[in-house]
Amino acid sequence: MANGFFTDTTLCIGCKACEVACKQWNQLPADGYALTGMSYDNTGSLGATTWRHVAFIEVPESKKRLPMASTAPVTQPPVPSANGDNNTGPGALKFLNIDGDGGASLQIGFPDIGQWLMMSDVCKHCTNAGCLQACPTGAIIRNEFGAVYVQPDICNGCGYCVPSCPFGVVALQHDDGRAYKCTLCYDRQKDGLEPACAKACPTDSIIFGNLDDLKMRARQRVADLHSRGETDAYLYGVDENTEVGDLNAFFLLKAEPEAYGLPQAPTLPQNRVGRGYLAGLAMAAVLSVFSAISLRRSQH
Amino acid sequence: MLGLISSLFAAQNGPVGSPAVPQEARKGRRKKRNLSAQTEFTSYYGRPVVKKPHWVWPIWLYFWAGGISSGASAIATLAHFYGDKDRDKSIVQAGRYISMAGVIISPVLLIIDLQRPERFVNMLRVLKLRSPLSTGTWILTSLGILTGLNTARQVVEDGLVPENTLPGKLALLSSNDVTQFLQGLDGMALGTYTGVLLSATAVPLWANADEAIAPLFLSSAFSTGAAAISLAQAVSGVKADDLHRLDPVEQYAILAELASLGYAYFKLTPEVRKHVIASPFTKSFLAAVWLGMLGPLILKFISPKKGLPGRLFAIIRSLMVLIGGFFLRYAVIEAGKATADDPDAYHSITRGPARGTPEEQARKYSNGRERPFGKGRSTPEQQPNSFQSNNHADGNEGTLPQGNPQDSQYPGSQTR
Ligand code: SF4
Ligand code: SF4
Repeated sequence: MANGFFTDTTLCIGCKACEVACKQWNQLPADGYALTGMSYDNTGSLGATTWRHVAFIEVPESKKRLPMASTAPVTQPPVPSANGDNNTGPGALKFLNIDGDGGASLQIGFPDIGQWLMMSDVCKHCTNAGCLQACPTGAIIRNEFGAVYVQPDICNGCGYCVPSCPFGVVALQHDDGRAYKCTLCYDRQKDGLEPACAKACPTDSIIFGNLDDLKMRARQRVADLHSRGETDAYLYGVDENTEVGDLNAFFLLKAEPEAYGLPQAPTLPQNRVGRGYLAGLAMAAVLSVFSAISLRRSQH
Repeated sequence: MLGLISSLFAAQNGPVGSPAVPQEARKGRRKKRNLSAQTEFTSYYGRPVVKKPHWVWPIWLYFWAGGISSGASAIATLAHFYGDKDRDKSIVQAGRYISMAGVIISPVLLIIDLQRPERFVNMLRVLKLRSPLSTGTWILTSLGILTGLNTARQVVEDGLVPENTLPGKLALLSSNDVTQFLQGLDGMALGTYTGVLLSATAVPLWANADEAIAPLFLSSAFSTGAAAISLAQAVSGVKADDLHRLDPVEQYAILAELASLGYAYFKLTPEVRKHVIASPFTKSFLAAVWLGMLGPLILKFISPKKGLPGRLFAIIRSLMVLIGGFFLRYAVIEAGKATADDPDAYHSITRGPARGTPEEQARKYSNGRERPFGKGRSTPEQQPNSFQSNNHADGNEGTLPQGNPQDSQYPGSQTR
């Protein structure tokens, strides 16, 4: 029975409660006040002391329509905007139809301020995990909850798992020398508690649970969004047939994976091992034959 | 424009394990991927997607020294079995000593590189064939033992330890043709695994060059190993007549290096190739090619063969190959680290099959009224996890599941 996360980015409000809860529970040190200067994202990326990372993607003004609750064309009532009768261009109002029960409907006008995409990133606990397969000490294991777990008492800080993760998750902690990443709150799960981030998430953007249930729920959610006209919603990390397999922490996204700093089709680094050895040893055989011939021929 | 270029490469760089997606579907995706954000995002604020390894000088040196040791082991073995018993004795002799020096230095460098050096023995608690670092640890360990045995014999044969003492007898007893043969094989494995170690990561340059790196490092191991042996021969006053016998080996290795490098170069996507041809490491790559490959090849044809000038030129050529070999390791590692910091490079090698247009997406998630996957994908039957729920008679579609998961009415419960 594997557990995992379903992170529904359409519900994320960017409050970073997950980041804080994770740091608190796992007693991770602060990363300092490093402002990225690009958005509200001042964490930057996942790392040895950052196991949840909320990404903020600002979709510029007028580049994005607000979602419409009904698919019927909205007739815009003549609402005066701030600067007179200007109803188009920047500063114009956008309208959202909310259909209530019994035919009642409510129309709300919004100023066009663009849109934020927010996503709480985390270790994906891949089905075929690059970090796990790369680890030469066997420090990285899959635990009884289906999570990919680094055993700190075995890791010797070789750092090979770091470039072997196709998502750039696991990292070495400099003062300590070992590799760290999300444990899927191994300790909490042992006590029958859900991980701290999922517990703290106020909008249930992060849901923790049995993977089969989560996947079904996620597919329903996408179908639901599609039926409401949000046809850009899709699931990242399930039903995708990539080399890393289904992700135990998967996401509902609304833009290209690249926008969130995720690869479209991650590859499993270890799938290149066989080819590499074959090519290298073939070259060794060729060079050996040529060398042997040349050594033989120059005898006299 | 960049997107267009990368889309050309997308078709070639799809994941190997993915099902065959018809060209049509792939092209279609690139053209009309109108996920609602009308701005095309190419990365998350240009931030790195994958993390680079922490490797610095110990690893540059280790790859270089390990390569020399690997080549020296292989060449000593080839000379032992195929060489002239008298004239190639110095090759075997120098090869054994050089590879011994290499396998003493290499583990030290590797352990220095560990962030928890005192725990290096943890590497020896498992053997994982899919982890090149694990395999490599065992290759290095066994090569250390084999080289030690054969070098001990060499020490006795050279008269440094008398034959009739106990250590001398033991050395002669424990080393023979079999251990020499195994040392040669193990040496080649050492040169190969350092390349696989790189290609089996998510670092764009290494992952993209893929199966080209191992032959590149292996042939570089041969050329630097041959150069190290020739250098030892030239400075230790081996007879001029026996001096140039490894030159053809070195030249074959250099040609193989050039071929591997060219093959790697043409495998790279434009976004990755940029880091080879127009980056701070371009000079190092050029140094590797000119000092380590083209230079010595050209010099071979113009250098005198006989006498002291011949010996001097042999020394110069060997030094060039050795220095070039170091630059090759340095450039491949450092340029690789630079590509890991470049999200465009990583995205260019991880483009995959279509996620589909909004219409296809809607169909995929439309509660199983149609097949959830497009034509290019495998059928739902082949995909145990794919969503194909019961045809809802309960009109429940488009809402969150209600009820008890154990309940057979629970949507999708029949998929498991
Ligand atoms: S996301 Fe990276 S660190 Fe997490 S399980 Fe997958 S490979 Fe390992
Ligand atoms: S750093 Fe630790 S966890 Fe990562 S591969 Fe090395 S030994 Fe394994």
